[in-house]
Amino acid sequence: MGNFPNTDWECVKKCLKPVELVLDDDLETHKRTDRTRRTELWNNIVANSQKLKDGACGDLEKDISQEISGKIRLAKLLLATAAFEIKEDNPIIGEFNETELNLIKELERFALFEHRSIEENVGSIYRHQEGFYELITDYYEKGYSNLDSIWKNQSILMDLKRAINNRYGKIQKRIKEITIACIDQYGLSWVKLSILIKVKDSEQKRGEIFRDAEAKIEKLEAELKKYEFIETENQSLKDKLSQIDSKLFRKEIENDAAQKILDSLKEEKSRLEQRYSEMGVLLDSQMRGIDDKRRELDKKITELETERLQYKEKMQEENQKIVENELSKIAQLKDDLQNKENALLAEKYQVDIKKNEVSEKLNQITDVMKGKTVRFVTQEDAKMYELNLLARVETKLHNFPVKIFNPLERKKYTINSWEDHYRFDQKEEIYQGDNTNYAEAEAKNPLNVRLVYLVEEKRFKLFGEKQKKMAVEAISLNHLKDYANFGFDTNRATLSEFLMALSTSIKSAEIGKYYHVVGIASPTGWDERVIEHIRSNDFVSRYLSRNVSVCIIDSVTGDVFYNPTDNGMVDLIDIFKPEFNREKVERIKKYVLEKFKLKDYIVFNDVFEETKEMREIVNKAFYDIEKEGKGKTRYIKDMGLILEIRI
Amino acid sequence: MERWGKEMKLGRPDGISIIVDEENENVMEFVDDLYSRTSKEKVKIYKLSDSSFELKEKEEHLKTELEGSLETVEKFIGFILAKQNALIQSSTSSGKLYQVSTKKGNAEISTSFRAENNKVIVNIRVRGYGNAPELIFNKINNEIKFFKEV
Repeated sequence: MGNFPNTDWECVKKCLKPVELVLDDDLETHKRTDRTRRTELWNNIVANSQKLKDGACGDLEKDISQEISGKIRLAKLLLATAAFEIKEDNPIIGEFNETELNLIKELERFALFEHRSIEENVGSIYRHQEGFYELITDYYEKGYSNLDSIWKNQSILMDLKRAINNRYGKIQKRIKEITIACIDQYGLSWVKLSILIKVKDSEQKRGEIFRDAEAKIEKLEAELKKYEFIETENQSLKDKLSQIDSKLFRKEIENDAAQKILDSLKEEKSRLEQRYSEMGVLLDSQMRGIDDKRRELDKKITELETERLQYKEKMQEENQKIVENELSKIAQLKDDLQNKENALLAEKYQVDIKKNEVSEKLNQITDVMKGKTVRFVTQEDAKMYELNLLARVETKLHNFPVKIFNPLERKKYTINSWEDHYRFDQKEEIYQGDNTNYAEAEAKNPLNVRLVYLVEEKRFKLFGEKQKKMAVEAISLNHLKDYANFGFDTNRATLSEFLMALSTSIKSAEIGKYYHVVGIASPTGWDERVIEHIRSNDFVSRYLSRNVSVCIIDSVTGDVFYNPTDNGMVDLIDIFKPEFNREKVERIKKYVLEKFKLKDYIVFNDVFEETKEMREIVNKAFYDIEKEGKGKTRYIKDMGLILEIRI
Repeated sequence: MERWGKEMKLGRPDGISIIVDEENENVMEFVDDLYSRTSKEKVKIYKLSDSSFELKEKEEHLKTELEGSLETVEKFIGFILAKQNALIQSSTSSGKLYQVSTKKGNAEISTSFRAENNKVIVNIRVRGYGNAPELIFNKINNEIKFFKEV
């Protein structure tokens, strides 16, 4: 403007008045205007445009002049289109070709959207009212959303193209807003946009995958029906084995007789193992099927991501939004499939573990028959060790500040208070029939309590949802059924039991992406295989997870085992480690060894009553002496635990 | 053609029409060849000569005085012409030129205005052939007259 100081803007404005009057109205209004008025407007536009060209309003910059000429042309086209539409014999129609006349006729249909609020438009579209739905789908299907294409059309006058872009660009923007609001409010189901073939294609594929996965799960459930009672069969076999084990321990049965019973159970055992294997294969194949489906979705995601980026580059926000909407639905389905796969994986994990349970139990019985030392743990001792574990861990976790290193984040957390913790147990396993005195049963038996303390952080430090960062868990692991049935247990915790106890912790830590520290304590000690495995790196990488650090505790001897390369656990081991008052243990040991000078064996209950020392101290002293090779523990009916002298 | 055809026996020659310069030296040879290839009966030869009519364009003129500002009067006349579907062809400071098509034919209208003592002197000329100029002129004239009377 600065270059043309003589421009009389008032004059320009006045000259454009009839143009603005025409452009202020839509085609429908012009169609209903009488011919005289239309002619008058046309004549005024022509006269004024001549005036402007002749410089009556001073000089105009080139781009302003171009813009004005486009506006004038568009106003004239609008009048001509009105005449054309009502089939008037009017020479003004002859100034434009059919392409131009038809384009305006089409584009003007969408002016409707401009005059109502977004909410009103969205409502009408969704309810299929007043033809709005058809109109908006038409808009996309006929490609009016892409006004750029008119630049390629040779049969449209240049200044007209510019003006069309200006006038309908606004409507286009409005329609974009309406489309986005529709998608936000009602999702994509209302749109039938052929331009988004890939989205439609993906919707279809998604539907297929969803139905397919559902069918697969349904089929799997039907097939798993065959294995409905496998758990009961497993339990019944284990119960039979426990019976033999307990009888053997109490010398109620001879080795030969026990062997005979064991032989008779062999077939049942191998049938059960076979069935577990079949179940594993079935779960495996379904898991693979679901995994394949997930991969198919990944392909679709890649395709749509490319599409989305293209729309983003072209600033086609509503198309981008449509693709994003579809992508989020795929992500949802993918999550759903992932959950199904996880559930199958967990099932498979348990099947694999359970398959070995009977064998492990059998091995233990064979060990007993071969005369291997087993530990005798009474119901009340097991209960005491469980309570000790919980009290010890809770006390240590409240000895603030507690410092825990999170290897996932490579960050040391200093904890000054615990916001959340919970405990759960398996007490229902100790109830025996309807006549159980629940309170008494719970007071007498260990309950396999799990105690979990959580470190959580708000997503954005001060606000946002809480996210788990770390969990510290103490697990008391006992053979509850044996305590409930026989009042004692002699079986060490096996690899299967160890893995089973960890399975839920591993799964939730991996899904929740947090670090989980677990200590599992068994009063009957641990099978050598578990100790051996937990120390081997190969086992840790294969069965455990980087999200989980684990240690096992022998509650009676106080021994703890963990993988020495596990940095997270090294710092935390003190939380789980049982502490015995050394002086007291030493005093009891001295007392027992003194007694050995007079007797060949010492009864636990006598020492306990005579010394008035705590049971765990006496136990520790007994097992320490055994470990040092100076004695051997044994269970004798009616006497309980004794320590025999070993010379 | 429909209107005058019967009355004036208007018609056009059958077949293919060819115009040849009589002075051309080959014209006899050409006709001879034409006869031999078709037949003498099928070929008709006429002599053409230039004929022009002195038909004068009709022009109706109206000069009138209207009260009001130049702008108002221009607007008023513009309205009257729009009522006749007259479309503007050009516009200058001295006047405007319109074109109007009617069933009776086309006409050209020119207008000019001059302001004088709160009045505007309006000049309107309607030009064309046939009945159209008179017809349009009368309509315009009547409108102005009606306005003046009111």
